[in-house]
Amino acid sequence: MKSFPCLAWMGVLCAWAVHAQPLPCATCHPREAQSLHAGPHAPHQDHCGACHGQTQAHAQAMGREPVQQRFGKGEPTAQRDAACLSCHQDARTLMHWDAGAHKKAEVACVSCHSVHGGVQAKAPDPSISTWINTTRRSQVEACVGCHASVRVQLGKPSHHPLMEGKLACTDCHQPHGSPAASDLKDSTPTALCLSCHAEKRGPWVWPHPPVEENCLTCHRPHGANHSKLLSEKVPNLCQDCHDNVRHPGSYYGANQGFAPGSQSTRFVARACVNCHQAIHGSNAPGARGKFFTR
Amino acid sequence: MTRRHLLWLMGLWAGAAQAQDCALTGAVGIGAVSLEESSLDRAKLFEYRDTSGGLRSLIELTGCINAHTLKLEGENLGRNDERLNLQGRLQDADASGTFKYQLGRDSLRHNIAFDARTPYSGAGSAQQSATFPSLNPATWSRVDVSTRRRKDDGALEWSFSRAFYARLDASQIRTEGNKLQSAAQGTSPTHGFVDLIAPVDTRTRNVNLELGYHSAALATTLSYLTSRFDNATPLMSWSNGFFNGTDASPQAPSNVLERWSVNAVLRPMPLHSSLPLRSSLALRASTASTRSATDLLTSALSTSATYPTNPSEPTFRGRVRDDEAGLTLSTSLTRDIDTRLTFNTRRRDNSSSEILFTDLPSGLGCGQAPLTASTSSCLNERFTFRHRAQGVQLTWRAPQDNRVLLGYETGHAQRNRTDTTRSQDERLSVEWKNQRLENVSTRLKAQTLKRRADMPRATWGADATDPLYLQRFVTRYDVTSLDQTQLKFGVDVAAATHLDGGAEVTLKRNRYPDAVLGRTQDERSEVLLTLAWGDPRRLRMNAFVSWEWVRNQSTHRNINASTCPVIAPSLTPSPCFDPTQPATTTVYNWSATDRDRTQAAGLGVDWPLAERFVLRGAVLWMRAQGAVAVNAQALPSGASAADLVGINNWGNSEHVALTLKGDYRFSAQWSFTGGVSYEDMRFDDAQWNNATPLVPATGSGATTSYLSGVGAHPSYTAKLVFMMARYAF
Repeated sequence: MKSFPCLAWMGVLCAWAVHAQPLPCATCHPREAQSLHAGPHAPHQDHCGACHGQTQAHAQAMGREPVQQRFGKGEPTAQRDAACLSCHQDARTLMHWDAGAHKKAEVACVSCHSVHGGVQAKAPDPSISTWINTTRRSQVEACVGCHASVRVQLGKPSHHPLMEGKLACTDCHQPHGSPAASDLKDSTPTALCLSCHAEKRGPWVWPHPPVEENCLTCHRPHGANHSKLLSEKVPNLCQDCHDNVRHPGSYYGANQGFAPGSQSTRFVARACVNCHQAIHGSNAPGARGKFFTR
Repeated sequence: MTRRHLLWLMGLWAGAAQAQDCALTGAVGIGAVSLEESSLDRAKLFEYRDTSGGLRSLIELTGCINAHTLKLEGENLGRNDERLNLQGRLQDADASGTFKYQLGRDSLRHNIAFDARTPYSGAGSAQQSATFPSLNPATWSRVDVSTRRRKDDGALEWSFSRAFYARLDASQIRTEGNKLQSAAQGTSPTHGFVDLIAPVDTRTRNVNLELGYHSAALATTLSYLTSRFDNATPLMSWSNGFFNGTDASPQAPSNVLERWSVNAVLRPMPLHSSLPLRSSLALRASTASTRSATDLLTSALSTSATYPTNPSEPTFRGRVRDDEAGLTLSTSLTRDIDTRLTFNTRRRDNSSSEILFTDLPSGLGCGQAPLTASTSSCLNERFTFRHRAQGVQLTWRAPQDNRVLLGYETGHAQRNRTDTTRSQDERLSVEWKNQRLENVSTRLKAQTLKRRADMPRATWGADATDPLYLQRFVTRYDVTSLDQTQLKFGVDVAAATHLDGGAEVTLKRNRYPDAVLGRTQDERSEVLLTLAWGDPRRLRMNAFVSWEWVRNQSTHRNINASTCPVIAPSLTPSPCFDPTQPATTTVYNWSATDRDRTQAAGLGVDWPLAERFVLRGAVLWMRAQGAVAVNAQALPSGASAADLVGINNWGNSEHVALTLKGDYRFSAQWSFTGGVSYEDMRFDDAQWNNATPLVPATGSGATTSYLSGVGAHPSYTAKLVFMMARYAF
């Protein structure tokens, strides 16, 4: 019994050693340990327990016992996120996490962030894209892993340059939550669009009301089969709202194309927009402005 | 910041890092790309990417100097899509304060058309002249239509005491080049149009300052944004062959946007809540003003002469104010039930100048009251609106790993439009998600939206011979009454250790019950299947197949006159502006069903053939098919009022892209990438097929139209060979 305090002390020392030293973790998990060196978690690279909780039992059992905190798909989202939020809860980017769609859909932090893969979002699946002139890992590939229907939209003939790597999903969306619909970074789609397309802000002598209220009335921001991201081809799109005497209500069809003899200036090329080009608004005088022809 | 500055900075950091024996890692790469393409206009191939043959480069640097970490990325230096970005972070020893910075440059060339034609000299400038008629396109000049966009941005962020922070973002977006901007030549579509290549020389400068306080219980920010858009060419003048004079097209006005925003979130602490029931309260509010000033044109070219436009003020001063506010209260009623109450309001006020153009000749006047002030004058429209919405959501984590979400929202909108001034929305949604089976996740969402809008035009027009009478029946789908139904179903299955699959079906239908003329109904259906299979150490595959159907239905009234015809034996005009009247061969209703069908499939493969060699492949295929079916109203005799021809190639396209590349890691320092890519893009469109530079005049008083060819030939085939050698240090 005299040796009991000594043994107990040695046990404490061993427990401390297992807890405090990185050696046991790095011995079996060298890639995971190495992966933290260059990232923002580098200061914590020697403290696996900061995220994984108690690791002694796991180390002592040579991996046969699980670590306290695991991040696999089967673990409850709240439990997986708790480890991240214990440090990041007051991060400014997570301000609206509770209001966001990802929280509502129980998307875990590690669904997008690969802590052991650096700071970039992970690209778990092989890329499906056309060749683009970049070697950077595409953020889009990470997002479309879940938002698969958006991948189809982004590949349509008219699209924003996301697949080309010149825009990112996070240029428009705040994945960590936003008070706006669709987790937009701005309060409304129109305000967001005009942050880049500043030439369409006006204010105009002659505004086009649907343009002022919502760009998405006519445009599909993720991609469209028709030029200018339009949801429908012109003249059909314009005629869905405009009917009047003479040409707004007239029929235009395939027999009015460029084939000799029957060309119609209201059908070929850009149809209505051949003449009404200032469709987002105009500062021209009189009818030239009101009808958006200048 | 120039490239030289960045390289200098990089060298400085590298030297400093060496001196302090810090872990500084990075890579440089050099490569090349070779292109062989076949097209009439290769602009679509180059639309947002620089696929031209030549050298490629990359540079990466990541490391730290004591508490200072930095990351530098650069690629395609000297090419049209050059990008540079530097991020850094300095942290106090006790981690109580952090300083972050960022500097970047991103270039993009948006190519619209190469070798476009124009009869004008000075194409792409503010003054363009031509002599008309100009019926020999071989004598026209050639011009590339594209814009160069360069964004230079930077940010500074200082966090102190772990709770307070200040952040300053600044950016400048410079856009230069030209764009297509067509114009009507006369006062009727038969007078033709011209494609003009308009100048683009703009600069947008943004500065955003944000101050914030963040803790686990309270987060709040105050930010101020100013965004100034400057257009160096506010006016473009050009020769108008129909009016036979110099015409003018005002360009986008320079403007200034200023916005103040406040955000605050009060949320539960880990162990206790500042609010009852572990609630969190999010508040946001912003007020923004957008201003512009435009000197109005005091004369305008019209039939046979230049006429004074007599604006009531020489300068239009645009001033729009947008205010919005929102509140969200999230509460955990029990461990299994969460609720969310939301309230949002948004309003636009327009205090822009009221401009009245008077004594205008026919063709410059705005028409007839109440659509406009009078036939010889025009009063501008100052659009305003108000939106308000409130809703409640309830989430129940039910037994058996079920989750049910119920939502209800009502909204109210007011607008100063003549077609609809008020509308009420009511939205109901139900969502169910089940994860009972370990490897299967199922979700189903159903939503209905009912909107009811007023129709102030319902009393317009004295009788059905008055053109205004027709407006009683015209609705606009963005604001008119709506019955919307939406269904979404999804299932994800982890069938085996390395096999995941998913299916998603979306159905959406909009019906516009008040619509007589205009869009009456639209539908959208999507089916998507995904599959991922493989062992990361061996072979991995990722595939999808997608089908999408869109259908828009609309009804219109063909009245190719501004007065109703007299139909014998009657001696008075027929009530032609009433769409409920029987059809004649000149006045009839017609309906259109516009269909878009999109099919897409893709496959990506990563195949580690050896320890150091990975073969990667991707195939992407997409086909879009559009068609319009049209029907004319039946005559009293039963025959169709007109023989209308539908369209079978309405924005058809097919795109095939195939990329095969190998990544070979020769050593810890050296790695090589090389591969080939093939792309084929085909378009078939009734609007563009057999495009010609001229649309000849037809009929009395008609005039030739002059086209540039922009958008006429987007098809291309491209073969690329590319390689990159990368040295890591």
